[in-house]
Amino acid sequence: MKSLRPWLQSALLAAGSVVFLFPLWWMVVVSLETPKRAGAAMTGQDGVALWPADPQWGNYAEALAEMGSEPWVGFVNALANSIVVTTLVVIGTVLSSSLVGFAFARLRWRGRGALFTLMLATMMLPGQVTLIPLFLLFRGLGWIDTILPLAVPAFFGNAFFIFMYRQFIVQVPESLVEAAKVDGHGWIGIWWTVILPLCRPVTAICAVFTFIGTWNDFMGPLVYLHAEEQSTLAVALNSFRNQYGGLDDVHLLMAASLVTMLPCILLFIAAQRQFVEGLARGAVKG
Amino acid sequence: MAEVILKSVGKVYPGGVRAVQGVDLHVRHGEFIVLVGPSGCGKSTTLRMVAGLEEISEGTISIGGRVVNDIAPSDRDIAMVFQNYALYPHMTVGRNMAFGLERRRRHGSLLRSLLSPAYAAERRAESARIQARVDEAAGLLGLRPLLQRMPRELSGGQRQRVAVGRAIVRDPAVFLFDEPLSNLDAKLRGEMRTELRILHRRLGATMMYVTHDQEEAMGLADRIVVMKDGLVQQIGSPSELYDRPVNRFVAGFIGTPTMNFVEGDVERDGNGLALRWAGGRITLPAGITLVTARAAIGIRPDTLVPVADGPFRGTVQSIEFLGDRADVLVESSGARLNARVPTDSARAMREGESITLGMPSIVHVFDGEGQRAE
Amino acid sequence: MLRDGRTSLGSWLRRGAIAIVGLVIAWAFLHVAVREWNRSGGMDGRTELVVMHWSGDGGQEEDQIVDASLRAFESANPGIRVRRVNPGDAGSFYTKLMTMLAAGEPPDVFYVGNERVPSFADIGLIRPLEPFLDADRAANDPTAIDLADFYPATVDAFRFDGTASGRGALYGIPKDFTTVGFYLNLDLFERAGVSVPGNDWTWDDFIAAARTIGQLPDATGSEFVTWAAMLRAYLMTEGVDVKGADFDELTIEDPRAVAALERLRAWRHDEDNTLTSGKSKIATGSSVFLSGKVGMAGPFGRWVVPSYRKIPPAGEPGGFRWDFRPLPRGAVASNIVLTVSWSIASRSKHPDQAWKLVKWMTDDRSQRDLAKLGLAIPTRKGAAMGPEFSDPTQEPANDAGYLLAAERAQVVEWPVNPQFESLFASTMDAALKTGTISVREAIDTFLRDWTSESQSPLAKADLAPMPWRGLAMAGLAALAAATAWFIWWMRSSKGSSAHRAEERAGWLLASPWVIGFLAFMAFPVVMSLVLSLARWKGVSTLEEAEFAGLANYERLLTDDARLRTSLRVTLYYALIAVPLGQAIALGAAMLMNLKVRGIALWRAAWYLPSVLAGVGVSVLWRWVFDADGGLMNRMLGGIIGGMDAVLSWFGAGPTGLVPPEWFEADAAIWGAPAFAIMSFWFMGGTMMVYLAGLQQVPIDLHEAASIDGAGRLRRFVSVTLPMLSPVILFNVIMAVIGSFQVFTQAFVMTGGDPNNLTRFYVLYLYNQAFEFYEMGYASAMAWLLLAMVLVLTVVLMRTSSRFVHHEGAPR
Repeated sequence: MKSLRPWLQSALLAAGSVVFLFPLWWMVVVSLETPKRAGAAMTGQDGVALWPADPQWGNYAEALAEMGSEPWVGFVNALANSIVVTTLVVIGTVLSSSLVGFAFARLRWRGRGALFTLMLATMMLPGQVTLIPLFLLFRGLGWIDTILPLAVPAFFGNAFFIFMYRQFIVQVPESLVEAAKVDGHGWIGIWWTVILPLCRPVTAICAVFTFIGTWNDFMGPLVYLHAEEQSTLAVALNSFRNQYGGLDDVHLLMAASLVTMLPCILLFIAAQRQFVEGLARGAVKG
Repeated sequence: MAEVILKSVGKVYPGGVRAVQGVDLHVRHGEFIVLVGPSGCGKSTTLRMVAGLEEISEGTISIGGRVVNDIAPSDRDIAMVFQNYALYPHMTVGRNMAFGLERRRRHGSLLRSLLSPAYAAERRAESARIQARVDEAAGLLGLRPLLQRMPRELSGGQRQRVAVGRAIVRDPAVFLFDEPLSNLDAKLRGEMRTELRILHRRLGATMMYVTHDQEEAMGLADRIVVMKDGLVQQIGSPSELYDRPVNRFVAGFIGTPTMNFVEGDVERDGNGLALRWAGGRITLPAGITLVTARAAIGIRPDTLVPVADGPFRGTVQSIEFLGDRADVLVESSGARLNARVPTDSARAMREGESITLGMPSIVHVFDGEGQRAE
Repeated sequence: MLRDGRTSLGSWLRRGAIAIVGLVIAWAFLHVAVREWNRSGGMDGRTELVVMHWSGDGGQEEDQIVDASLRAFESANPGIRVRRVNPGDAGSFYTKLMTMLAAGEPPDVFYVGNERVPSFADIGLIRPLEPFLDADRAANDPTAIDLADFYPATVDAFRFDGTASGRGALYGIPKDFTTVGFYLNLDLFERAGVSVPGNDWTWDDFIAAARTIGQLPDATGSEFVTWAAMLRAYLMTEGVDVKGADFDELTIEDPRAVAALERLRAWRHDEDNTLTSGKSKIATGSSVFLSGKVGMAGPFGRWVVPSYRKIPPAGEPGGFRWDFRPLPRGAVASNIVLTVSWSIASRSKHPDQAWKLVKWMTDDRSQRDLAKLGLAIPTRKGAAMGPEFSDPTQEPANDAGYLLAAERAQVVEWPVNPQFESLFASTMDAALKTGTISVREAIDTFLRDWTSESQSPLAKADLAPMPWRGLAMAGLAALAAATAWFIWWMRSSKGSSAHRAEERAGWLLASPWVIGFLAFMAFPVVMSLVLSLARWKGVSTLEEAEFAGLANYERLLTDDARLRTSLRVTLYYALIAVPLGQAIALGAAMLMNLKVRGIALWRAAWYLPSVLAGVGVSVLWRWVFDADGGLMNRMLGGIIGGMDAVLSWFGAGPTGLVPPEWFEADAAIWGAPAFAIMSFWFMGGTMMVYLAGLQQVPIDLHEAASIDGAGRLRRFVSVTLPMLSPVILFNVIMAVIGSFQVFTQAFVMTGGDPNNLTRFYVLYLYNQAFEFYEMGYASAMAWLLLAMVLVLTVVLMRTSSRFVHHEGAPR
């Protein structure tokens, strides 16, 4: 690839970017159109719209205001719920996954190998297998209609991220851990003061992936939360789709979708560098 | 008294691999002791058992009169300097050095310090004490300007110094060094060696030091422990080891360039004994007893000199000039001999020419099992 | 990481951003905390009724009207508090209802569509209402419901006699209904010179009009949807229904039915422009009419009216006049009612209050309020005649047409097994919409599948209840034994105290995962294994599960055509998506590995789609693959046009290629690939992993290879690929697992249509679990999936060891 001509490199990169970004841009365009033109753009009646002829910024306010039954309340509630759930899940996943990953990477204990294999195997378990029994479990605990079923499991680690942390921590020089032992730290202390700060690249990936996954999670909130005031943005958006799914409301749907996706986009842009670095250093070894 | 006493210490890894066995060692207070040997000889394992990083399978280790077998590393009153320095990459040099002390302070809660002014004051005082100690150690090692830097911004030598500084701050009874200089280039290694020596004198602390480099060991140690295959070969001062190696291994390991060995059959020679090999025959020093049929003599290269007539006749293979001395490799029938001679006499030689080397005054004799014969 | 002297504008911006994010999070926690505090404080002595409904086509207005009605009910009944749940559309509603039922906490009062009555009543989910009616009558209650006030067909729709709907006990009070018919674009009728038919028109009138309008430039005669209910309505106008005496004895082979279906097929496939081609998934259904290029669209109910009312008046751009005509007559004049009731859960703890609420929500005033939406017809004749529904100021002018049809409408009966509808719809789709098989074949397939479905031992046999008590005991015993063993095992540890302390610490640190695994994985998995041996309708309680042995697996492996189709579709998808996806991702990663200025930005751009997921994106892609005007086909059309132009330049004929109809006629070939193409858009994650792998290939290896005279291709084949092989294996395994779990896209974009050609395995599993409520069967499917994924992974690992280059990686 090195000897590709520079212009060809740039052309390929640019063409790819157009392919990858155009649908998104199209969403932006449609979200800013009038209902009539948005519908036409979707069905291709007037060719491909590349630029909103007359940007209707009001679409956004309208779309957000109409989420849920009372103006704005639905959106504000859903936003707060999403933030709370996502924050808890991210914190829980990072803490528990790094702790368990540390145990798998650096401590010597019988059963470690078997448990690690078991954990890798669980990654293959289709979520469909556990959905109904889990629901029965959470009902038994009285957690339905609270955010607990969404947040609590995160504090018990996630196999994929445990794996990533483990792969990363294995590469941390053993002597750092030993130095900390000589310095008088217990295992928890070593994890907190040495391992966790060192794992920043993995933590960045873990946090971003978890954030995006939780933010976009749809099935969980749908199943566990009944009351409208409890719903997260993904569920609110789906109700919105069901209510505004027609062609004449497609501009509102796109506006609401974009607002919902915005935090993911911003987060990605902010974390992009650490993200790539982390993937390079942790995720693919072994 | 910070003595370290190892009694029949052994290490058996799960799976039965025996890394160390039967090590008896008495490290005296204030002594600088160096464990040396080829890689895999068990020297690091021994040190790590002292540190508490490796379980002790057999025997006991006591530090300062206290058996430490079941004591956590942090409670053994030791400090360790690692080969790769093990500096916490996410902490400044200052925090790295203070880290071992801070941990004790951390047990107090923030809440408590908010509620109790006395406690808060105590914490502040503790903090100041730690800072003072870090500053003192930094001064000792010339690290003061680096305290705010991150480890990745330091050179190898500076990192090494920080690692030592971190150990000093802890003010331990015993310093443990695990090949601390092996990641440095040769020049820096020499400088640091001197500094460590000075440091040892100033601190007067007990130090145990592991290296595979016998020169380093010779330069640093009060006493050297030579190990091989998990067994202690010899313990002694550098000069003892140099002058009276107990076996061929120690003899070959200690000293640069490596000792020459000439093997042959033992013959009776009047009252004494002689050694005959393909290229010649020499009479062994009087008073030596040998029970084996084969034996070897060891000759330090710097004791070989070119002479008109001598037992070793051969061809010069190569000449390497080192400055005031030169290493000359001589191929004698049945033996390759390395001689370190003054440059002047080397200048007279030509590669490919014949040469005769004389019998030195000191030869070491080893029996067929490699043990020193006297 | 900030360092001294580097405090720049950027770092201030970053600090500001962090502060803002912190504040937002703090606000969110505060907001939720305050709300929860109020909620827990808000408990009072009132009886709480949970009410669940949907607001699909009615949108927010319906939501608000229901809410207002409920508030009014609360003020009128101070002792009752109502908690309202509205999951959105009917699909989400039923999913939600299912899970609430499975949890044993059904809402007290909820919507039920008449097609669901048999399955819900059969498992005793909903309560018969006659006792309430009788009690009211006996007590001379002024609010008593007189069923005579309702259109009879709408009431009958909620009766069920134990085998089929239409007669027997009453399970719901209908709130509104619709009859079906066609919506006419009057402007096109005028342009084509076709006279507008009356309410009593015939199929001959219909097809004549469609043909004439189809002759107009850029116009199509009619849209004719082939939904199961609509097809049955169509057959009923020929005096024949699918159901004979009961659902074991179908009459679909009746010559009249076959002829009618064949006629419908011929209209669509043997003529041009008479019926819409069924080309576009999106432009079927009601929205195709909005384009103004279709003469008629139907059969639809009243529910399309709110969106059609947004059609601009004639003369404005995109505007035209339109009206409604009920279903044409064939041999007989007939119509159907589609209706929704308010029903009461059998397990409601407050049946009397619930009944009060049902009466309130179905009374004349509530119905009139709802009728203002224009979405449906009040079931009370009086309300239907009122100005709220028959609003002369608004289109359609022919409100009377719906009511006229109501007088002669029949109830479409549905069997207990909800699979009937989906089997019927998908086989008929294949014949009538995609035209891939003949009508005869479709009928045969349908009969065969339905017989196997309805006659299987799972459907018929009497089974013993699940031995839950024994299972629970066994489970507890196993748990106790495992705990005891674990304690013994931990104590048996040899070695020094330090060693044992480390061992304990290891288990302690790993305990979050161990506990989580036991609670959130092991228990549910075992539970689902147990369920896979059961016949259990997910909507009933667990106690009602019956022990079926291996019957689920037996049926799964021997007797489920749809399962085989779904497996084929999934494998087809995997065969395309995995290798191509990996190649594209690897190529992209190599581009991303270039040392070009601003490469970070390019990477971000290429990766960005991967962080986007969810409903909005899926909706977007549905439009991208639209056969008519979708972005993809417009692009392909452009490319083909370009190729044709080049060819004609050389004097050759055109390529003759046309862009595929992804999810319609060409779905057998192009359906799964469409999803594969879409998946390439989300290949950013894989690309990043490859990029990371590429960056770990030591540069000296490349240099050494170039010194050895290896060209670029050689270097790629003999350096890059071998060094990358562990990463490739990792990605391939992940991709294979992922390809077996395609769900959301298919669920949102096609729902498995047409003719199951996009029904991926997990989608089918979901259908079984959440649409047919066959939890036992679905659990067995999940276990089959697990087995397949496992086997594939092991095979991949084993066969790959020869190709994968392993450096002594730490393990």
